Amino acid sequence: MFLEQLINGITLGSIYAVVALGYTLVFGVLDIINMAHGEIFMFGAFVGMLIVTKAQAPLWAAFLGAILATAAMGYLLERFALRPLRGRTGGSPLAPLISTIGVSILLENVAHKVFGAGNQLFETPFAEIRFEVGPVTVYLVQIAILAVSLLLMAGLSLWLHRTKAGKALRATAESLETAALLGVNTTGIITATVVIASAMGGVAGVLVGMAFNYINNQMGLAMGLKGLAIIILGGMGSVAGAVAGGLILGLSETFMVAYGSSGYRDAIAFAAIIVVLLLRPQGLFGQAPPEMQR
Amino acid sequence: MSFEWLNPYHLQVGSFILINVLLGISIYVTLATGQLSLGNAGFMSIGAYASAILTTQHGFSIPSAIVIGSLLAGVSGILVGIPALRLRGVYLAIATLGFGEVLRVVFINWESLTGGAVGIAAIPQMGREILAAVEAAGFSPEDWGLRNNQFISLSIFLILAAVVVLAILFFLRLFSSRVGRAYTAIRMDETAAETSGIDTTYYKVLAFSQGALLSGQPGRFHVSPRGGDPGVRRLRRKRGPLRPGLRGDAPYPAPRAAPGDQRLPVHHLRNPRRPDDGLPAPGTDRSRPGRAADRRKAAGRILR
Repeated sequence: MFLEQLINGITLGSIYAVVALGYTLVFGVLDIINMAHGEIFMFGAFVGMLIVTKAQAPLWAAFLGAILATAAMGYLLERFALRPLRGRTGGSPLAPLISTIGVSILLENVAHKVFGAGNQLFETPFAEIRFEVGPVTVYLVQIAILAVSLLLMAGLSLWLHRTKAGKALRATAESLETAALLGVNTTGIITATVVIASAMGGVAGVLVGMAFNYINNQMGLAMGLKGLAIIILGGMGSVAGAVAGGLILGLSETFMVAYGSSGYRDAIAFAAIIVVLLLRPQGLFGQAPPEMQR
Repeated sequence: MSFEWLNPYHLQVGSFILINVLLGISIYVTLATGQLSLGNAGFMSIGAYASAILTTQHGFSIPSAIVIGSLLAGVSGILVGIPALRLRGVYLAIATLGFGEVLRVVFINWESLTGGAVGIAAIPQMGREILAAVEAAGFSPEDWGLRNNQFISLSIFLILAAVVVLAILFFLRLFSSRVGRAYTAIRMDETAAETSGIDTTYYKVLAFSQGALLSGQPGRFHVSPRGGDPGVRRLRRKRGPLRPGLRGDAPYPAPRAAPGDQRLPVHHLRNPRRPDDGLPAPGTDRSRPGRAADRRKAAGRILR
């Protein structure tokens, strides 16, 4: 029982971590919170669902389709909701936040219109395959989820730390102006960041569909808020923090349901936000940024 | 004189617009000190639940329940505002968002008090009470050429309009007073404001509680015209009140109403021919909140 809950928690936590990585990338580079991330994630889940259940295509096609669709949405988001606000003098620093909230409301209602309000079944071909490892039952889906998220995290980490583009991204995150002066195409980097973050959201959407078998047009909101909680917990803009925060949240939620009261499961994330912000505002892994005490 | 053209449904939509205006002002007031609070839906729910519980279980009259509910929301605004002093900008926005979410989960789970996801039914409706009072005083809406349902909707609309006008006047006056100038100073540069002798702690908490108090008020009205449960649609509301309030650094509260607050009217648009009453009778209109609750429960299950 304990071990199975542990596996459940790690599976859930790795999905959370992938969602949170999308937030943390955008925050690291742009210093804004992309409130539409949850809705992009939801679209990824729906595109994956359509490909798997309606077109009867294999799972890798669902991932590919979700990545393409959400990457395109990320590009549109950056092009039309964020770029026009950037570099405008006299604007409120909160304007991009509000703008992405607008996008999230729009997307949620588009999904309501297009996909309907009800739950949609997300069937994976190997949903029932499971193994008995000693006393523990492990589902193949869980292994697949874990593998895909680990692959994503490792790939992102390699890309950030070992490639030229990753270096440029980190430089842009450090200082937009300095990076631009040194010849980094910051506009391109910013666009790439939002696109990659959105694509990760799309992958997470398919993963959630695989894990829970149901999706609906409101899942983006809940997941988006949890992603926020995770990056606060782990430290805004910290990749390691997002992964650790995702695992912590996934495990604590699973154990709350297993050994505590399931009704208060959703409160953990938000109570954590409040406690962390008041006691250690930089999060577990972040350094206190100067603007925190502006 | 005939008021045939007066459509109760349109009045109801108008009432929702006015409610959104109030919510917009409530966000704006807190924002006037440079603090963005995304937790006003939480304050609204405190006001709504408090007044609903007071009228249904403790026999309070509607006006006193509204006042107490708003005060309670204002007090919780102080309680949230004090720890929030440590936070700025985006961090404050997220912390208040978290506050609203925790409150939602608590209200959903505290079934003995709030009825959980089903909510509170049979909340007395202000319009009906006014109608009863008018009839008890020996008048009838027919004397003024109004049908009963027109009268009910019209009275709520007019009360809300009066509240909105009063609130706008109050805050216009406030913003050109000592308090308002302190708000502006804090928004522009908090350090400078503090150096020139403004008690920033006091004014920031004051702004917070004013915003909370104001959003606690429509909470009750929001319940009234529908007679449904206050709880279920708070999640939607979370971002609803945002839109009217945020207008960057406009010097005056010129809140834009968001008539397209899609969640509420949709119900009516789908079902344009209302029962002749125009207002759902208390307790009979539970299908929709119930459905919404089911949907939300299902949504919760998915991510479980």
